Amino acid sequence: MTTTTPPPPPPAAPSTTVAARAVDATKVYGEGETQVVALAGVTVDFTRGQFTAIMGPSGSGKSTLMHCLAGLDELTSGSVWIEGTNLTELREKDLTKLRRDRVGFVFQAFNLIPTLTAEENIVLPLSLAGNDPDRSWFDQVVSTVGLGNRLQHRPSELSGGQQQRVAVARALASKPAIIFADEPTGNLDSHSSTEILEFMRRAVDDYHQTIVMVTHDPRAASYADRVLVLADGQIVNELIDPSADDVVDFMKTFGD
Amino acid sequence: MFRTTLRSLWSHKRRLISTCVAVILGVAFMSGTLVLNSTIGRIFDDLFADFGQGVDAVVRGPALFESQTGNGTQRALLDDSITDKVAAVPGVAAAEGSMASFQLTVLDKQGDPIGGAGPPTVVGSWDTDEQLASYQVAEGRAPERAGEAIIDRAGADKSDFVIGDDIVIITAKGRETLKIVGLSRFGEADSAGGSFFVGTTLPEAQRLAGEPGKLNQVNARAEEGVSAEQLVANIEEAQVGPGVDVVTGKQAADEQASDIKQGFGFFTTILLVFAAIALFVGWFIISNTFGILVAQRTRELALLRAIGATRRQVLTSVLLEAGIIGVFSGVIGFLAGVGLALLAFEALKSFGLQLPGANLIVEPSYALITVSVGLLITAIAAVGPAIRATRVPPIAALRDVAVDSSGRSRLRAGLAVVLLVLGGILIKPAFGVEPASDQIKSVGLGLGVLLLAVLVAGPVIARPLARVVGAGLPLIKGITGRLSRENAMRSPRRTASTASALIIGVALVSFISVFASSAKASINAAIGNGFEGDYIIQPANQFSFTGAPPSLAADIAEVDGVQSVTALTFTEGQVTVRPDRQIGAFVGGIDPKTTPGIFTFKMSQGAVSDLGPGGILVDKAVARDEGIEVGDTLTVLSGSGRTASFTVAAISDDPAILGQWTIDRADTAKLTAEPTDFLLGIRLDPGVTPDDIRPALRKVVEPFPNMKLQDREQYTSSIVGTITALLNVIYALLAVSIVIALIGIANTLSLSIHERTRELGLLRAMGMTRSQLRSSVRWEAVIVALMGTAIGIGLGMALSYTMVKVLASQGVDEFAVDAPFLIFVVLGGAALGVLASVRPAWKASKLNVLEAIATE
Repeated sequence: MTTTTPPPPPPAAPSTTVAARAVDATKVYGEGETQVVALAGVTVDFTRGQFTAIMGPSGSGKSTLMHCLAGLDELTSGSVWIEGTNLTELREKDLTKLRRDRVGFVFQAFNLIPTLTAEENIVLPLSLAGNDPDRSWFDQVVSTVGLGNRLQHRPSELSGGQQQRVAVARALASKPAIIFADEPTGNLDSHSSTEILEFMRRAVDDYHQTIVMVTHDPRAASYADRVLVLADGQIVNELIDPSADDVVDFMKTFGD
Repeated sequence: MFRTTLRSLWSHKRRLISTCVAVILGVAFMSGTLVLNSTIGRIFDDLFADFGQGVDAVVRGPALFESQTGNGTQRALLDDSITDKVAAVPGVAAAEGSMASFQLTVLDKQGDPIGGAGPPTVVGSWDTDEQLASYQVAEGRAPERAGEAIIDRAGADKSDFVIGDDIVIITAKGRETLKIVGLSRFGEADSAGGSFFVGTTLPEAQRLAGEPGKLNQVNARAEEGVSAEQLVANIEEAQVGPGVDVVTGKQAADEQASDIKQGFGFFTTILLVFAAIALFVGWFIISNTFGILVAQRTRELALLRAIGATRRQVLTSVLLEAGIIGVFSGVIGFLAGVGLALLAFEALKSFGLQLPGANLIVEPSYALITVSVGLLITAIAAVGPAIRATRVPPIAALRDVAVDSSGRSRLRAGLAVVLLVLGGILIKPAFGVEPASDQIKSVGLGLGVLLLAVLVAGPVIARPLARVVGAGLPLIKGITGRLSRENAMRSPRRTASTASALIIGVALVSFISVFASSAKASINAAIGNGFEGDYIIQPANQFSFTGAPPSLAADIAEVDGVQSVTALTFTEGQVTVRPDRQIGAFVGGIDPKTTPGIFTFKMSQGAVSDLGPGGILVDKAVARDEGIEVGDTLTVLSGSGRTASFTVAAISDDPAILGQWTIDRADTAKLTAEPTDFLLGIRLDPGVTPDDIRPALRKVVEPFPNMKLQDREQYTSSIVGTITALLNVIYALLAVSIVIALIGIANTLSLSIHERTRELGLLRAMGMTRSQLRSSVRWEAVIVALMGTAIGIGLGMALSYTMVKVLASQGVDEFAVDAPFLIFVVLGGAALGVLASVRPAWKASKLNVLEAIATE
């Protein structure tokens, strides 16, 4: 449990081992009196093949950081990178394509399009790009999350846990550079929650995927390789390979 | 609760705009019609008030029958001698007989007929008693002898006539030339309501009308101190003639005004029918909008219920919302309607209807009527959704929005089947052998029931139909197309009612189109089979009552290269089938000896050659309906009061050309003083082409510019052209309902998109580009539009097929489809869908992804 200083400024071309990176990322909402600083100059690297959890109290800027990293929101200043691409320089259309081709998402709820079957939801980003899925990879992902016999069902016919499994499968299906998960277990019972976290863990261990997860749940965070803790728009701490108890103990100091 | 309602309205104000537009359009149509109608009515009231001003009593001939062509009551003519008898009645200061004819053609300086479909041309006697006269001399002098005329100043200005010019009138005797000796005014105006007046001496007017010694009426004015009513009583007591009718001048003027207003009444009725269609279509849009709003507010309503609002309060709240929209739209629609009427009125003015001080008449009751209709239609449309709103259980506040199960409703499917069967039974006679004319009404009702069945079945068939219509979409547009199709299918009730608005408009358009092309085909077939001649001469203006003098036929026969000529006459009258059964009728007159080789008439029983003087041919359908048989005797009473009896010689079956009653042309003189020919058929010598002889024929017809010479081809295309012109007017009126349907599609899409905000945000986060999103919304609209158009066209064709079947005996017996037009309608439907989706799609693509994902 050591407090680390932010890493040194990155080289111009990020190294190939970094999946995503934020450099002096600053996000300010509103102006003058009502101004709120959501991110106050965050610099951080997400290494390939690593599972990172971002924690922090409400309003700490963890969601904003994730949204900016994922190309869903724009920074006020600073830059964010996905692999070698500087997102701050992209136009809306290219940003959309980047999300489609190189980013995977798992949200807390309402992850799926209700009119499409589970299978169609899984391959949605690929379909949007007009690409055919890699069949063997698809089968592998589907069997990993255990959805084999549920592929033709619509979301309304699936349980919450099954819906999240579909969402995880979708995030994996396009082999993105990085997967962002926003409280993926927030709406699930503990059993389903464990399942999902285990799938994410396997995706990192077995398939060398990169995952960044925002969570409130110390148990969920304990599945990560490292835990970043945000407060007031800054990274205030980093835990490497923590246990759930480590996280709980640490978070207690914030009184979250 | 009232405050909650207002708040809710305000928060949805943008979404309610299009609902308001739907109500406004329908209501505006209606209020515009009312205002136009009353304004025109007032104009004629004023006009005839001026006509009757100096006249205290009017003596008219006995009533004969009601005209079928909007000319009011037809009355027998009076003898000249009655004038002196009226003048001798105690209390009468002066009496003057008058004669006027509306049926003569007056030529302008270029030799073209004056008037046409617009205000009438009147050739009448000039009143010499200044106090009785409606017209006064403005310049020059009054006509004093035969061959002299006074014309109104407005007409003179328009046609460049000056005093001293000759003016030509075409009568049954041929061309008559009069010298203009004066210009008249009508009170303060230069013309009476844009009509063209030619005044002559009484004997000259009688001669021109072909009724020497006869009068339309005798006008009388009372001595000082005698009231109009007293004068009427005095004249009645004096028994000036058998069966004469005596009324006050005011009453006579009112009657004339109301006759003319009735003519316009038909026009008003048609406009009101289209207003009703627009409102009916609007009703779907309104009910759809409310349905969606209520569905979207399920949680809000449930929350209200949970905190203690009663069902009644929820119902009141939703109805109150509808009421406010209805009143608001009603008021706007009323004002828009006044604007519409103003435009239409300006259009009429440019048409020649000019009157002093004619302002729009806007009665307060119209505002009341239109606002009430707006309110009613909105309230009725909102009742269903409002009741659904009361069924929202309080627990729904904690649950997700309920599913739309109407696609699987057995009750709905059952009701649709019942209606379908009922409609089928009602239209069955149409497919039987020779449907009777009185079954047309029941078949019409059956068609209405079938339309209703389709509308009821809408939600049940919407899902499978959307699946079929959108089948190819995933193949060409990939996942975007897949989403469009799924979205069109996801709420069958909503899709169905959106499409319903379009179904009605398109069904009517295609019904009318197919019916009209069937009518055209039937006419073409009838002419193709029935007319074997090379040339036709017929009145240039179809509203004309003047034909050609009989001398024209004789002159044509003299032209080198003409083998034979046959002429047809035409008289309005009334046929007495039995002593207790009179039917208004148009009686044609043919020349059985000259028709062969020019016209071949289809006969049901007997032959055309059976017809001779004293005989009559009766159409098969009428004969069957009225139980008329060969050998029966029928009495015909004509508009000029003449009566003649005819024996049924044969039964005809050619309604398109012969009509229903046909006598020998020579007998027309028994019904009309001076018969004119309405149709001349010409057959050329073998080897003579129509082009060879055209100049020679033209030369003979030229003196009668009210008649036009047409070769075979021109003849058929002119008949068909009339139908086309009428069609265009109907299409323009139906376009309003299609515009409303378009608004409906846009409205539903906007609301659906609002509902799907979160889903759209997710799609955008997943990497759907803005243009993909727009395309997905656009194709959803196209599917709904195509569904509406496809059902509409199918329905329209089925309806018109049935109509053609039932009308077979009326002369429409060919079923023809104007395929290019229907293809145009389908493509137009798809294009409308695209158009309707522009704004919703644009709004959807501008969603902020983060906000959308965070939406509850």
